[in-house]
Amino acid sequence: VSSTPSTDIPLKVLIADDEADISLLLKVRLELDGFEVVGVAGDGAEALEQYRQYRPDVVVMDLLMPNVSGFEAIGRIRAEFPTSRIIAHTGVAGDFVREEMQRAGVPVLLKSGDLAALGDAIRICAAPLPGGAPAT
Amino acid sequence: VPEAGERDTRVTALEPADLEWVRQRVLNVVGHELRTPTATIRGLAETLAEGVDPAVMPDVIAALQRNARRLEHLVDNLLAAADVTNSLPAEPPSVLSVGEVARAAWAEVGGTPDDLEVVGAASSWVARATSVRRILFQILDNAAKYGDRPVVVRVEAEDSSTVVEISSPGPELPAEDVRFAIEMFWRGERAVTSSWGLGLGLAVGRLLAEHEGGSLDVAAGTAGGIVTRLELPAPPVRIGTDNR
Repeated sequence: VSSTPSTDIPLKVLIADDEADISLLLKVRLELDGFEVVGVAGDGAEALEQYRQYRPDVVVMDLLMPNVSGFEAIGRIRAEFPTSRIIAHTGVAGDFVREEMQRAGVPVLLKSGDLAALGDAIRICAAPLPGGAPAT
Repeated sequence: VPEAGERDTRVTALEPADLEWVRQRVLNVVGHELRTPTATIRGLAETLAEGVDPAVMPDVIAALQRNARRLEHLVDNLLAAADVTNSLPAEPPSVLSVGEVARAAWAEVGGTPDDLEVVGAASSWVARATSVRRILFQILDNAAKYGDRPVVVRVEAEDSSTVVEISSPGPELPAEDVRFAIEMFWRGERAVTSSWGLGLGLAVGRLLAEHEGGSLDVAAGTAGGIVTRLELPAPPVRIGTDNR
C-alpha cells in the first residue's frame, strides 16, 4: 500500500455512505494513510451540502443510499461543481452501474475489506490532468 | 405441498431462463448483503493490527461486534430458509407469555421499551422458545426498520390459539411490496436503499411459525405500512398471569 500522498498537504476527502460502519472503516483507513477526511455524509443530499462546505479534493460516493442516491448526488454535484472529482464506491457494479458511471466520467471501485486500492484511486482521481481538466 | 419423499415438481416446471433468473437473483442478493459485514470486519481488523487512534478504538470494536452479529444473523436466516427444522436446537415446547416474548424481542432489536405497546388480554403460546423468539425478532426487526413508532402488538385469544397483530404507522406501501413482503429474497425499494438484509426475515418467520403449528401472514395496514398477523397454538388451559 502506498501510504504517502504525493504532496505535503493531505488530500481532502469527503465520504458519502449510508452504512455508518463502512464510513467508519473508510475514515480510519484513509486517515491512517495520510488523507484528511473532511466530512462524512449519510446520503446524497448531505454529500452535496458538505461538498459546498468543505470543497474536498475527492468524494468517495456510495451509490445506493436513501433519500438522495449516489447516482443523483453525482449529477447534482457535477452540475454545481463541474470539475469535482468523484469515485463511485459500491457493493455491486453490474452493466448498468458501469455504463452510468462511465457516462458521468466517474471511476468505480468495488467495496472490499482490502482497501489497498482506495488510496491509489483517490490520488489518481485528484491528480491534475494536462491542461487542467478533471481526472475523469 | 408434496408428501415426504415425493419429488417437488414445482421447481422443475420452471423454464430454464426463469431458473437462471432466480439463481442470479439469489446469488446477487446474498453476495451483496454479505459484502458489507465481511468488508467491514476485514478492513477494521487490519487497521487494528496497524494501530488505530485510541480515541476511535471503542467505535472500531463496537463496529466489529455489530458486523459479526449481522453476519451471524444473515447466516442463521440462510440456514433456516434452507432447512428450518435442522436450524433449530432440540427443545421441547413450553408455555410462553406473549407479552414477555414480544418485549424481549423488541429489546433484542434495539427498540426502547416505551415504543412498544402490547394491547389485549394476557395470553400465552405453546411452542419452542427459540422459534418464537426468532419469529418475533424477524417481525419486530422489520417493523423497526421500516415503520414509525409506536409499534403495537395487539393480542387476541381464540379457541385453541393466540393471535397477535403487529403494526406500526408508516407510509403507504406499493401493493407489490405488500404482496411479496413475505416471499424469500423480496426487498422493497425502501428496504434496498435504507437498510441491510436478505429479504428473508418474514419468510423465515413464516417457516418457523408453520413449524410450530401456526401461521404468519402480512396485509396492508390501515395507517400505512404492513400488519403482520402471527397465530400460534395456545395452552389448553389459559394461564391467568398478567403478561402485559
